[in-house]
Amino acid sequence: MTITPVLASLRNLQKIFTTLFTAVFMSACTYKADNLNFINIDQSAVETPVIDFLNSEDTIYLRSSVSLDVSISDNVELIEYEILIGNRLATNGFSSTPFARFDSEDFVDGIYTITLRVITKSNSGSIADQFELETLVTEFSKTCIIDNRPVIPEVRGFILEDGSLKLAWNEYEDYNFEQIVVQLNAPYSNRSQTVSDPSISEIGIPEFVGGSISGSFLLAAKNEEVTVNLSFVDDLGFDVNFLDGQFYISMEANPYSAVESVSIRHQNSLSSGTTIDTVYALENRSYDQEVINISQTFPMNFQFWLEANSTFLTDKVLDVVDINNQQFPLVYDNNLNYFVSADFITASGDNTIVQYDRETGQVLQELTGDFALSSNGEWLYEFRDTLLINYDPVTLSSISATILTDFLEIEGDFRRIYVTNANQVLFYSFISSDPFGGRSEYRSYLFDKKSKETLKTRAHRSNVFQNTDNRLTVEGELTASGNFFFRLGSEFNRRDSFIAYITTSQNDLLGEEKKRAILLTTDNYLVGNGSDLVKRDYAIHSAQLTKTLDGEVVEVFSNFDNLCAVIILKDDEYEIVILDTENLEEITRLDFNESSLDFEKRFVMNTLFLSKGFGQIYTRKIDE
Amino acid sequence: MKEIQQDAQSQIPIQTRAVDEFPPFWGFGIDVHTQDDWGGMNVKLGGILQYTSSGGSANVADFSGHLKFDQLVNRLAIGPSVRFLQKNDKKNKLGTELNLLVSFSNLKISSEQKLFDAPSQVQSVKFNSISGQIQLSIVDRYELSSDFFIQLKGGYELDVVSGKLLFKSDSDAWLLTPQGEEARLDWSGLRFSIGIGYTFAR
Repeated sequence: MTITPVLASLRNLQKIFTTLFTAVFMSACTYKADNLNFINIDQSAVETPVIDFLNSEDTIYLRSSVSLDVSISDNVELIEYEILIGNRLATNGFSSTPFARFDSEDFVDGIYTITLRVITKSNSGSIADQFELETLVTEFSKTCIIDNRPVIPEVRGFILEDGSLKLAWNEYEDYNFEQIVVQLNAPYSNRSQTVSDPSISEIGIPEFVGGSISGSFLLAAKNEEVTVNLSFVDDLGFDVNFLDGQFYISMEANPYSAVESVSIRHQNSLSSGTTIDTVYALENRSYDQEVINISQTFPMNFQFWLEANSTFLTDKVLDVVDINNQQFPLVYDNNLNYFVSADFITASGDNTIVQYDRETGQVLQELTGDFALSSNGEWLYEFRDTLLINYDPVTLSSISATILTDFLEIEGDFRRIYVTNANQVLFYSFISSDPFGGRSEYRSYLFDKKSKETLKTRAHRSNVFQNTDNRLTVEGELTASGNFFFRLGSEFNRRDSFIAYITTSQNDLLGEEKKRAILLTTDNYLVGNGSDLVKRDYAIHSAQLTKTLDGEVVEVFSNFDNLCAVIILKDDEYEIVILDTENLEEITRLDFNESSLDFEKRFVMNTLFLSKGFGQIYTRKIDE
Repeated sequence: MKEIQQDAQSQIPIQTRAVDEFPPFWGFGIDVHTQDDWGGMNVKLGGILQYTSSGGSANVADFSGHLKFDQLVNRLAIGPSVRFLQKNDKKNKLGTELNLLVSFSNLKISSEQKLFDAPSQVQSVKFNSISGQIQLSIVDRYELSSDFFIQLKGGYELDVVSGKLLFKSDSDAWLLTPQGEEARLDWSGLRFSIGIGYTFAR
């Protein structure tokens, strides 16, 4: 081998050159995967959301709890929306039709920029979009004013001034005032008045001539409305008393200048038709002891209406009973039941049981509590806490007590009890109100005191117990047997009356029941059988006495004392036969119209009542 | 390697396109042969060192970023060489050459995701393998001077033995094909080279 002199002298340089040569070649000959599949995305196809962010308002007023109605079009795919007040997040959500809610009280009062930030999918088709990492942020901004100062309407109330009633309030001087809307409801006029001038602080009610007026006062400020309920009653001191066979009426002078006439009407709901209209001249508007004489038919359930300008203002209801030619008023509330015995009258309302002396009408005893009295006077109970207390209806002293919770749990709030002659106690309780404005829910329990068993329980939506075919029912299902003193109508109806109903026995058919009358003695009852009227022992049902009539017995009812009435069908004609319940001797006989068969029939003392709904009561007094 | 590339493409949720599928690529090498004949038969003994590389890439890119799946493979081969050249006085000499090669290969599989301004997310794994090849070539040598010459060579290389692609960080693990078989590199193929030679001694 030979080596050139030059290379020999550059031996070291040769090593370096060789190394560099190798490195450069290795680097140059190493494959690099640098081809790129680049795709041009057409972003002009990307859609921005169409949003209605309170477009109709330049400036938004926010107060307390805020709900903003935002509509985001469905041309985009919403990921999230945010509402910022200033730079602070107020609320966010994910619905494309949001009612964005937040509490403005989280922010200090002031002027802000409110921003709706809508984050949507870009749908550009890019790599980031396919990874759902590419979003489109669209912002809409407006000026907003946060004002959390409370809106307080200051209603001064109703003021009588210069013979005219006014509704007055203090001016609401804040800049955010919008309007005041006064809604008034009165028997003679309903009206709504809008006040847009904040400097106005009263409205006149010149048409008011007394009675009651109610309504609402609505103060509308920016984004806030506050309503105050209004109520005003001026009964003009109207009062009615009964003394020595006469009604005494008192009333103050009518101070309202719009009054043109004052009248008082009265009606005995236990006699036929509206009776007397008495119109008083203006100059006699005030009186203390005006006497009204009325025809005497007892008992009486009198309602007196006070009217001005022929419009109802207020009323008074008075009941008067006649006992041995002495008349005296019954002091009771609308829910009174009463029982008349030979010596005394026991009356029970919702909260009281009062025993009157039958001769003098004086109050003998009075108890307060949740009482129920059976119509025959045999059963008197009080429900107190968990106890069902049995009283002697004669002495009004307690006899025994049953811990009711051992047998029955009453759900809800207890309201009232009833007791039948068959010693069945009906409890009635309130469960709940319907939050959607429908009827409230109630529950009734029928409890047999003797066996201490709950015979039936039922939830129902009505608090009005219905009487159908002489049965006390709750919505047609729960039926109590025995005799009830039961009030007509609802607890809100002032025309309620004391009425004795005969209810069916749970063991008898309805057709036969119509021919039965249960007597006050509780020992015997009457039942019709063909043309026979049979007096049976109540306990063993054996016939004690039979009276054969000259027609088929259709229906039997009694006054729970000494008289009974029997409707008979004789030669296609109906008659009423009045008999003595002791010996079944016929006392008198009356004509009876077939059209009255489906009427309610009541026999109170010596008066026969036929009724069909309110305002159609016919009475026939039986001459003894 | 193409199967692995296609399998990777099918598993990526975004559609990519294979833009490189292991194409032929430049390499370089060094041959060293004796000047003296071996056995008086114009046969020269020597050795050969080669470096070659190739790769595959499936990717997609747009304004929002790019997604890549790359496979880069290279090898360093070394082995004995036997060359037979015509013995004449002409400057241009034609002959044949037989090489036995041991190849040390390296495979790097990497994926990269970059979106907007977020940092790239890169993952890569490396594998090594050893294989053996036979290469038969025709050699044309043209002497430029008494010391320098140009050499052209063309031939075919055949994989004879191919080892598993062992995971670099754990030689007890190796790469499998989508079918579950052992993945191997196959360097078989045509080889063409051009080079400059230098005669150190005569």
